[in-house]
Amino acid sequence: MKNIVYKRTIKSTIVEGILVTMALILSYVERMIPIGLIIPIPGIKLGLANIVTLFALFYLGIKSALLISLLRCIIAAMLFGGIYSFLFSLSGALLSLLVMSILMGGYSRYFSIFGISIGGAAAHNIGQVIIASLVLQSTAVLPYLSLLLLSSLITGSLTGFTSALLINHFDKIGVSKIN
Amino acid sequence: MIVVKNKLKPGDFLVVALIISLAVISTALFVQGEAEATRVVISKDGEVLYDVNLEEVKERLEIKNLSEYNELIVIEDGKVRFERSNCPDQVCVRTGWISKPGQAAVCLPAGIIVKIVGEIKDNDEIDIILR
Repeated sequence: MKNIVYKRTIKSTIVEGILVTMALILSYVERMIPIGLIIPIPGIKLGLANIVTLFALFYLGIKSALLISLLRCIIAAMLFGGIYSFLFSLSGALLSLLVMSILMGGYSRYFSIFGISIGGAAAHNIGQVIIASLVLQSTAVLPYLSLLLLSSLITGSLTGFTSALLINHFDKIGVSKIN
Repeated sequence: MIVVKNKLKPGDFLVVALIISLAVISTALFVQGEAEATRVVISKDGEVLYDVNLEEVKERLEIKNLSEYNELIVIEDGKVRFERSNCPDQVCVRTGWISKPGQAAVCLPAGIIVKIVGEIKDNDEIDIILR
């Protein structure tokens, strides 16, 4: 339990709250963008909420990022999803966070924000396909994995670009860590 | 002009290369080759409900009401799709027509899988037996 209880300041708590809200709004906006019509792959998503996770990972650390991802998945499921979309978004979010936090260890030395974001997007899709196979107890969804992985190169670059803009701006105003 | 200072690093290309190779590997593993599309297998919660020979369906064949979402599955002209469904995510409907072996349309909320199963042509028949 010692690892879970971490030091929180009022500032970081407020920022976490704001980020959860922003992630929820992004999830909602994402539902209104019919990306499936442009790139017709079942299950394709832009992954806009990933921008928030990446931001939290960058400025607040993995524990805050985990907290924000969990809260977003739970609240999003209560607002506009069901149990299945909850399982999907949770498995995707957790695997994506895991991969991004590993890659973040080599940030600026080995990886830029683009590599981290693309890795996270791909991991998100892998997590979803794994859960879909488990829920359906079938391998019928596996052929879509390759298409989803290729699409994650595009969606991951987009969210990576947005995150790069954000981080540039935070550099400019002299913020390197929020605590 | 937006300038992004975040320069690409060698590891980025490694990530991209890894994803592309994963995509290629999964294609090779899970997508069947040039087999003839012959059967549509419709299952719900892992139980096979219909096993239809695609080529024998001459007229539009409708399969209705497999679950509480009242989905309408249509087979015609050697292809199959979810024409409509009342499920919340509509992924099954957006999948559209499928016709190639290995393809599948899935409705997760209802637990329904529509899968095209290819019969790989058997080329291993004995041509002649020499004595």
